[in-house]
Amino acid sequence: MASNSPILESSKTEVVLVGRFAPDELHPKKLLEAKVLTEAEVQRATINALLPGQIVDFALDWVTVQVVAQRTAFVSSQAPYVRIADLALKTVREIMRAPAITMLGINREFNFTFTSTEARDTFGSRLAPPEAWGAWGKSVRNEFSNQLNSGKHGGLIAIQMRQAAPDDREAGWIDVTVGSSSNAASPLGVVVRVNDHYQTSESADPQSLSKDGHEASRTSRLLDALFNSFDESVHRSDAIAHELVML
Amino acid sequence: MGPGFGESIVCHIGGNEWIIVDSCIEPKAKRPAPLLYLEAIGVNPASAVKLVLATHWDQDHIRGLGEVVETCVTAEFSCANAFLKDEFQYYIDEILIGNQDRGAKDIQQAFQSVKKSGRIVKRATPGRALLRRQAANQPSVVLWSLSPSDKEHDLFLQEIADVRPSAGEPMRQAIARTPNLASVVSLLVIDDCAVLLGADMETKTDADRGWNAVIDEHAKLMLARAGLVKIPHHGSKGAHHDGMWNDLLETATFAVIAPFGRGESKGRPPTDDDLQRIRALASKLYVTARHTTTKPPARNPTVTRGLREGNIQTRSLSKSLGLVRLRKAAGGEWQPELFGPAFEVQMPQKIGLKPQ
Amino acid sequence: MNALTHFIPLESEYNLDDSPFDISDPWSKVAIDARAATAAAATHMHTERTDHLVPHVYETMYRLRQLKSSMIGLAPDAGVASFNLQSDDAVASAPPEFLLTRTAPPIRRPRGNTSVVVAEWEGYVTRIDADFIEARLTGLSGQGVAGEIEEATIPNAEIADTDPLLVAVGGLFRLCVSYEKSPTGERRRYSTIVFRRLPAYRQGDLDAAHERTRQRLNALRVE
Repeated sequence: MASNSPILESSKTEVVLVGRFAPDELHPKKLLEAKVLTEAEVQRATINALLPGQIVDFALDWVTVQVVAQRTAFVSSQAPYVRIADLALKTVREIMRAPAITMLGINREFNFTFTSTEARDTFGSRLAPPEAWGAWGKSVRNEFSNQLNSGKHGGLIAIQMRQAAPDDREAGWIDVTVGSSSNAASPLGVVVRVNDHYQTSESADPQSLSKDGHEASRTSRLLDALFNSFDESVHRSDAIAHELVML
Repeated sequence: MGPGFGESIVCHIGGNEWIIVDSCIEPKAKRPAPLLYLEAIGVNPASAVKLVLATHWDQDHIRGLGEVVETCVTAEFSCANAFLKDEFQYYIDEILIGNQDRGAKDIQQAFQSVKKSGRIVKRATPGRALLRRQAANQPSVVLWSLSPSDKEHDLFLQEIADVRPSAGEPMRQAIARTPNLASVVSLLVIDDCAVLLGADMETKTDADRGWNAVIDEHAKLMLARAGLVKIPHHGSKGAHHDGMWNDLLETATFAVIAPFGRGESKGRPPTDDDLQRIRALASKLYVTARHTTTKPPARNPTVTRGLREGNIQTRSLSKSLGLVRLRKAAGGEWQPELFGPAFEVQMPQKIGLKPQ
Repeated sequence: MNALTHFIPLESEYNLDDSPFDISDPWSKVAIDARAATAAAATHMHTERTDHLVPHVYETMYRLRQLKSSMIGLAPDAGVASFNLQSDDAVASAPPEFLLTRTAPPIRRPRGNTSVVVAEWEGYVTRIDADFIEARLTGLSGQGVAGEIEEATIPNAEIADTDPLLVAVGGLFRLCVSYEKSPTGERRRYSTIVFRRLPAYRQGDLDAAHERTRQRLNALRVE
């Protein structure tokens, strides 16, 4: 590995479902009754927030679950990440009575730390050459000799790229965002976020279904996408992030 | 041919027509070994293969079967009758819900392919001629199916019924508990030459099962004895039957074993004892590959140490395909050729562990 | 306690000095009917909608956690730490309580550690023995691992915490080798075996599979 290559400090994966949910259905006790979680897990759960009908937010050793009426998220920073996909599928399929999912996100976040200011600047300049920003950009570049904590060292803050309508899904995109780490203890830190987004397309809707039928069909198709594509999505995000910072 | 796990047999029946029995994957090319072999010798499987026989449902016999059936577009497909029953067909589609089980996928793909192309599926039942060719200027050919017996057919379907998933059960991988129950033993007769293909047939005490039933069927049909045998079930002791040697085979018989390269190395068939036993009965004995422990590719040292600290032992599968080819002119003797790690067993010989 | 009496004004900063609770008493429990509180807030704000108050509830929770921390800090050895969160107790026969939860620290992964996976395999159990299981592995990621098919022998001690119902022949699991870094920068390597809790077969999916089977069987030409 080149000496300028950054170090991966941590990564996080989340499965986000957008649609219509009943948060109370994902109370940890309900998950225990349905044998989705074990007793030991539920006893060790930390409840972050619980408001009947509005919010369920709890954490286990390996996952945080956050449910509100329009959004359910399963977040983990510990491999194997497929556990959160399994948990999402199991809870939606076996516990939720009438979920309606309209969007799915398989999102990853990578926190890298560069080994030097120069290496970080080189990376930022590669993604967005200051010179492309005209004379002003050149003036920003000229300040790179200042220390990071001097308040005078500017540069790239964030940049985002989208792949529109990947072939492996009905509709959606893959967005990659690179930005400075917000961790003040890590001034050389860079965050890479990948939002792998799935939606359904009306053209894929079976004909002659009622409105409820369409809702159920779309939910089912997105769950199938989660089941079939999760591993590939995670590995693709890994590859994107690593190639981005290692180039 | 066999890569240490998996086996496949390709038979030339004259007139550039071929039969494929079972399928395995060539480890390096990751494609079905029988197709690679035929292509390597300039044979077009799409036109030359006339029959594909799947002897039973076990990972080491059906990997790549889907692609084989799909490619051999003029070949009929044959399998045990039990495979064509509703219970087994339902099971295959059920187990593939949310699961990419390769073995089930291969079987499903084979049937889908046959259905799409409108080809015939032949039930392999005891005493049936799966392929028969009587043509002028061509050797006469019959491929006889000698098993599975009715009792084994029923037992196999009962086992499938026991493992079929029900609503509410968590998804899982398909594992055949006793896959050899529905093994199709076949006898290929070309003019006056016969070859016994033993599949994974095992020995049972029951007269209606195992080799007892096969020997009965052979006797009923008054079939010829074979001068070449593909030893059943990797040469294991559980598949040995004196009657097979005494009643189905000629006195001087060539034998071939495809070893089983999975599981703990100690006890994998054929063991050294198995080799000695079989070598004493056959005039010549060949094995397609040795039991090996292939080194894994170079890894991050963290991986190796992490596994070691967890006391987790891993074994890579053999990367080499061995091939035993036997050719015989009319009235002549079998002429062997060995490729890759295939070897001839001398007396006495140990198969042993040999790192590659 | 009357929820309205102890209603926390969601629109204003919460001041511990104004708290209705005696924070010097370690046995005092924080009890708020959150639903009543938001309903009261909604009334106060002349609206019946409560979902926009969700962020305020989070803010309230944060304040309550601070309060709890201060209470526990006053009596560290008093065994105060057993609070359980039971939202379905927010019904009325007894004064509804909205209690805070004690966090049980994770055993193997202390807070603040971050982990990075170096290699991952998907495996399934092929045999179960008294002391070990045998499995077939397919490499998913990692140098020299991805794409490789291997067999493994795994001591039962490594899967001791697993739900025994999951450890069956055919059971699917993931094996990961990872390293984690503590907040002080120390690196620790470890392997993890996690059996997957896959969704259950649904009757609808089984019925759909049967339909596919029927279509195939009807079309097959069998002799």
